[in-house]
Amino acid sequence: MTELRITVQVLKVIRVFLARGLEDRTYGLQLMQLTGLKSGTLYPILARLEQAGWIISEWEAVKPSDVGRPRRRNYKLTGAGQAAGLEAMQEYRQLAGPTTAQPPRPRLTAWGLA
Amino acid sequence: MTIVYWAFGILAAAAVTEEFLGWVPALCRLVLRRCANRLPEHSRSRYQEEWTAELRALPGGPISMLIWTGRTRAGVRQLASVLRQAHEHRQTILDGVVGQQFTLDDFDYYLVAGSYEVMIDITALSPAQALEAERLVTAEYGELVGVDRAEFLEPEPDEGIYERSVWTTLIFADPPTCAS
Repeated sequence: MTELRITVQVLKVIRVFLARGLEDRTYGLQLMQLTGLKSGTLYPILARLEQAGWIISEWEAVKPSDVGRPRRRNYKLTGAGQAAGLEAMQEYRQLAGPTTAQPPRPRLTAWGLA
Repeated sequence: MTIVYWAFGILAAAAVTEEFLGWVPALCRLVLRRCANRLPEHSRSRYQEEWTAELRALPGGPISMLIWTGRTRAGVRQLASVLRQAHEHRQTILDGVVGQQFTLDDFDYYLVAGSYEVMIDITALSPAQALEAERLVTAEYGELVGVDRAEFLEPEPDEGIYERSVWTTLIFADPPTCAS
């Protein structure tokens, strides 16, 4: 397994996989729609995740003549990917810091109410 | 006369545009094939097939196809780099093979000692047999965390023909240390 460099785009992809769970399979086009990433960004990320063992990919088990379209390459989260992905998301949240900053309150004095 | 020229020009432009848009899917497939050819050999057929399938499923018309193909092309260099690095990494592991060849049922596989990878040589088997082979080895070694399948054409010596081969690498949660 190779080491994976975590970027914001990688986290976007991981978040989708984590939300879908271990059993759910997805394919490139669907991932593009769910993450908002372009194909030129997504495929290298999927390859990196696959090489790191976080996801696996396999051909859809259908006959193209039956479904009337070419078979798709499906991607699925692995157990190791789930654990590592959750850890990475947690690290990111800690680094990003609290996001609960309150918007400034209106100054009552400005309205002559203080 | 000018009006006639304008009308002719508009008709000609419409015909050329329609012709061009009709050729867009074929053009995109050609570009995708060329993109796949820039990847390491063992990944070419996989990505070409994957991209062609996605191109067909793409919502929208020819312009969406062109944009999607252009964006895919933009990422090919990076993808090739990722795949090449992974291949070199695997090659480094394979160079250090000390494990022997094992046979389980009807197929041979190689244990890559000291790593998390078991490489199975399932050359010339059908996809169904390949999956069965993977299932058997997985049962031997425990929790599987990754699968990497590569299909390529292998020349048959003296016969001038090519045979489809499948090489599979199984990645396990724990280093495999025992042989069957």
